[in-house]
Amino acid sequence: MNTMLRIIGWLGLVLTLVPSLLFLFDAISIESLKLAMTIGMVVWFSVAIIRNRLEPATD
Amino acid sequence: MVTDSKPTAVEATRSDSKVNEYEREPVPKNAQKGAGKFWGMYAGEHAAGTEFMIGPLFLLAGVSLQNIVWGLLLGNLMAVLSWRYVCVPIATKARYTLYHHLEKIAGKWLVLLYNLANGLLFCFLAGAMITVSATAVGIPFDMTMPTTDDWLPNSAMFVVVVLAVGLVIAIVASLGYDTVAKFANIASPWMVLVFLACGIVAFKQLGAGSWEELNSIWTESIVFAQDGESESTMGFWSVFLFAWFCNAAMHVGMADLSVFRFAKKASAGWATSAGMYVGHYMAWVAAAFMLAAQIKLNQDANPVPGPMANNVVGLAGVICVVVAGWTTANPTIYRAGLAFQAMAQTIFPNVSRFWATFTAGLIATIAGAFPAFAWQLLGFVGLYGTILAPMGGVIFFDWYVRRKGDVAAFHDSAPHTSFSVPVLLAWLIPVVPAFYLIVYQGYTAVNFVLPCWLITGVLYLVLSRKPSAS
Repeated sequence: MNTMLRIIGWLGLVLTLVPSLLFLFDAISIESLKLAMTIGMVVWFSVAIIRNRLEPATD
Repeated sequence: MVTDSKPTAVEATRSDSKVNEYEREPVPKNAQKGAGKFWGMYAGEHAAGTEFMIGPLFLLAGVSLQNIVWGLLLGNLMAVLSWRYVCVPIATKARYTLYHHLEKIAGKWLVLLYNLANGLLFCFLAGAMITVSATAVGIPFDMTMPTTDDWLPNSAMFVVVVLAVGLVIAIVASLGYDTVAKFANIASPWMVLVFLACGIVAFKQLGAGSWEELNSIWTESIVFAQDGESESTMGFWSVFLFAWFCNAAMHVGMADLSVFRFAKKASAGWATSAGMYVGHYMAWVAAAFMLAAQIKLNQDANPVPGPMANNVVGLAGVICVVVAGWTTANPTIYRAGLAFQAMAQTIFPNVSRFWATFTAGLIATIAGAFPAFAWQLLGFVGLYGTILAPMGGVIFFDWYVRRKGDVAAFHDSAPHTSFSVPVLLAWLIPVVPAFYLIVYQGYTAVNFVLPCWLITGVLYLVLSRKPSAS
C-alpha cells in the first residue's frame, strides 16, 4: 500500500515538472501545462496526507 | 526542511517546539546525524516565499544577465565556503547552540539584547513573507496589487487580506507549529519543482533562441521597467556580495551553530550548497525570468509574486506562493517569539510562549501591510546581516585566537560575566555607524557585513585582552 502510494506521489511530482519541459519543446499548450501542474499538485498533496494518516498504523 | 515526515532533532533546532534537545549541553554522539539530513533541509528552507521577490528586484535594479549568472555563482560559492569553513567546524567541535555558545562569551544579559535585535529583524522579514503570500491570496478577490511606488497599504482590501493571512500564521505559530513543520516537509520537494517549472515556462515565454537574444530581451525588460532608462544600481560585486551575505547571520554570524551541532562531520557543511544553488540561484533566476516574461507578454513591470506565478503556471504557482510564504513565515515568527519570550521572562517570569509568539506575529502582520518591506528586501537582508553577523565574529576570534580551539576547556568554562561590556562595545562600535550610513545615507547594506564582522572580532580581542590575562 505504502509503495503504491509512494509511486502515485512521485507521479504527482512528475506531473509538476514534465509539463514545463513539454511546453518548452512546443509539445503542449500553456493551458494544458497549467491543468497538468494543478493535477500534479492535487495528487502530491493528497497522497502525502493519506500517507501521513496511515503512518501511525504502519508504525 | 528535511523530507521525512517525523521531526528530527536536526529540524528541531530550526523549528520544533517540543524537541528542544541539548540546549545547554554538547550534542552527544548518539544524537549526531549524517550529512544526508542536512541536504534536504537546506534545499527546502531556501526555496522560500521571498525568493519570488529577490529575482525580480534584480531586474528592477537593472542588473545585467551576465552579472546575475556569475555574481550568483561565485557569491553563493563564498556563502557555502563560509558555512563549511567558518561556522560548521566550530559547530561540530563545540556542539552548542548559538545562544549557549555566546552566553559563555558575552553573558546571558547581552545574549538577551542580541535576542531582541534578532526577534525584531525576524518580524520584519516575516512581514515581507506575509506580503508575498497576500499577493497570491488576493487574486480571487480581485485585490488591487501594490506597486513598487506603494510604500504604504494601497487599499482596504490589501490590508484585510494581509491581516487575514498574518493572523492565521500568527495563531498557528503560537500554538506550536509541528503540523506546519510537517506540512513544510511535504511541500518542500514540490515547491522546488514548481520554482524550476516557473523558470522553464518563463524562459520559453521570453522566446530567446540564443544567449544574445536572451540578453537583448533582458535589457529591453530593464528599459521597460525603468521607464525608458537602463541604469544599473547593482554591478557584479553587488550581486556577488548580496549572494554571499544575504544569509550572513546564519554562516559567518554563526546562527547555524544550532543546526550543525548535530552534524557528525564538518563536511556536512557542503549540504548548504543545496540551499544556495537551488534556492538562491535557480529560484532567483526563475523568478527574474517570470518578471521578464510578464513584461514581454503583459507590459507589466509590477513584481508581485502571486500574479507573476499565475501567469506562468496557473493555480499551482499561486498555491506555491502562498505555501512558500506561509511555511517560511511561520518558523520565522516562531523564532522571533522565542527571542521575545526569553527577553520578557527576565522581567516577567510567567510570560507564555503563546503570547510572545502571537505578539511577534502581530508585529510581522503590521509590517506585512506595508509593501515597502517587500520592495526593500535586498537592502533589508543586508541590514539584517550587518546587525547580527558581527556577533559571529566574536565567536570566531574567541574560538581560534583566545581559546585556540580547546573544546574541553571551553565546555568546562563558565561565563566571566553576565553582561560583557567588551563584547557590547565590539559589536556597537562598527555596527552603529554602519547602521547610520545604511539607513540615513543610503549606502548599500551588504558592503558593511564583512568589515563589521572583522572589526567586531578584532575589537573583541583587543577590548577583552585584560580580563583574559588576569
